Formats: sequence, C-alpha cells, structure tokens
Amino acid sequence: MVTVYHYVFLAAVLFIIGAYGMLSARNAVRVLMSIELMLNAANINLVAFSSYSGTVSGQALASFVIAVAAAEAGVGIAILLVLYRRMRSVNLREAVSMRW
Amino acid sequence: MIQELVFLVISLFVIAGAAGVVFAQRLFHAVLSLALCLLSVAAVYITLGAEFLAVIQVLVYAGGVVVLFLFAVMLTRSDLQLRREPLESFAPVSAVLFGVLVLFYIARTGFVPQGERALAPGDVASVGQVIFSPKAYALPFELVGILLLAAMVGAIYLARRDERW
Repeated sequence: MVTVYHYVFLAAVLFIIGAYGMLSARNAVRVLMSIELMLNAANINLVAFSSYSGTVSGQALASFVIAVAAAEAGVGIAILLVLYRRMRSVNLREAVSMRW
Repeated sequence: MIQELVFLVISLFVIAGAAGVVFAQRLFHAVLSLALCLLSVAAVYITLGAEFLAVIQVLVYAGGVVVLFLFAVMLTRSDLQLRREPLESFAPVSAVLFGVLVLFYIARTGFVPQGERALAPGDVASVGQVIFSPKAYALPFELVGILLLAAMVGAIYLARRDERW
C-alpha cells in the first residue's frame, strides 16, 4: 500500500537534490532550475496531504504555487538577461558588485 | 502491488530528472532533464487523483517554464555552459546534513492521514468550487492574477533593450 509517507519521502529527496543544486551551481540558469525543483517538492507534499485527508484545499494552494513559480521564473530570467548584458557572463561567483 | 510498482517507477523518473538537472554536464541537457522531472511530477499528481493539477503542470511547466529556460540558455552563451565541480565543499556537506535531518524527522513523525487515499480521483468540480468560492480562495486567486500582471510588466521592463525609458 502506498501511504502518504512514500510521497513525503519522495518530496524530501526532490527538495534535497534541489537544495544541493542551488548551493553548488555557478550558472544562474541552473540555480533557477533547482529552485523550480524545490517548489515542485513542496507541491507534491501539498497534493499528497490534500489527497490523503480528503479535502481539495491543498490542490488549490498547489495551483497558486505553480502560478507564483511561473512568475518567479519569468522575473528571474529577465534579471539574468540584464546581468548577462552588463557582465557578458552568468557566473554567480563574478556578480559581486552588490556584495557587502 | 501494482500501485507500489507504479509509484516506484514514477519516483525513479522524478529523481533521475532532478539529478540530471543538477549533475548534467551541458546546460541544455539539464533543461531537458527538468522537462522529464516536471512531466513525472505530473504523473505523481495523477496517481494522487489530482488530474486538474496534472494538466496545469503539463501546460504551465512543460509548456511554459521549460521553454523560458531554453530561451535563457540560448540567450546567455558563455563558457559556463559546462558544469564544473563546486569549489566550496560546504554545498555537499550541508545538503547531506540537511537531508539526513529531514528524512530522520519524517521517519519519526506520525502523520495524521494514514492508510488509503481518501479523495476520489477526478474530482475537478470540487477543486473549482474551492478556488472560486468567496469563502475559500477567491481573493487569493484574484491576487495571483495581479501578481502575474506585475511580474509580466516587471519582466518586460527589465528585459527591454532601450535604456531611454
């Protein structure tokens, strides 16, 4: 029997892979993709708990998360293009002009 | 038995796609792995009986976000397309520590909804009623619309070529 634990474990593994990718990547595009992975892990948790507890509120929240993730990806890639136009690079280790 | 098998296969696809995003040598292959991972997450939603979200996932992520990332890869040609090993050792160490902690506490926690799935599959009508009913999520739904509009305006403003306006 597939229980809610299985889904929570899957989401946790997905979140950990995304967190590792976000911390280790140097390319800004890869960092944004890792953030998408982490948001998907959160969505799997929401839908799993909604499905196993018999209410659909979690599915509504997950659809809002998808919308916010799409907005985040759009604005993030716009910022990344500005960064690339200024510096001819998307290396996050070189983008230090706003670092304290 | 068949349920466990289906779940196992879909989970393997999800994790393989996620690992491809992080570990693929070429950035283009990482984007394709992201598409695989997101489509597999849509399959996970179907096994959970959330067909509406599965369709939304395929439309928005596989149709929109992945294409956006492909544009980003094409528009930012650089020597950084190939993955290099991270210099700092803190990333793998902290990810492993975090993972051990999270999995340990999940294994210890007694989640309330135990046993079989409670929701009937294909219940799209009740999802729509929850989203659009004024007592539940109608106001957040409208706010998400405003947020998307603001994000669109902001993205166009940031990505413009002309510096004058």
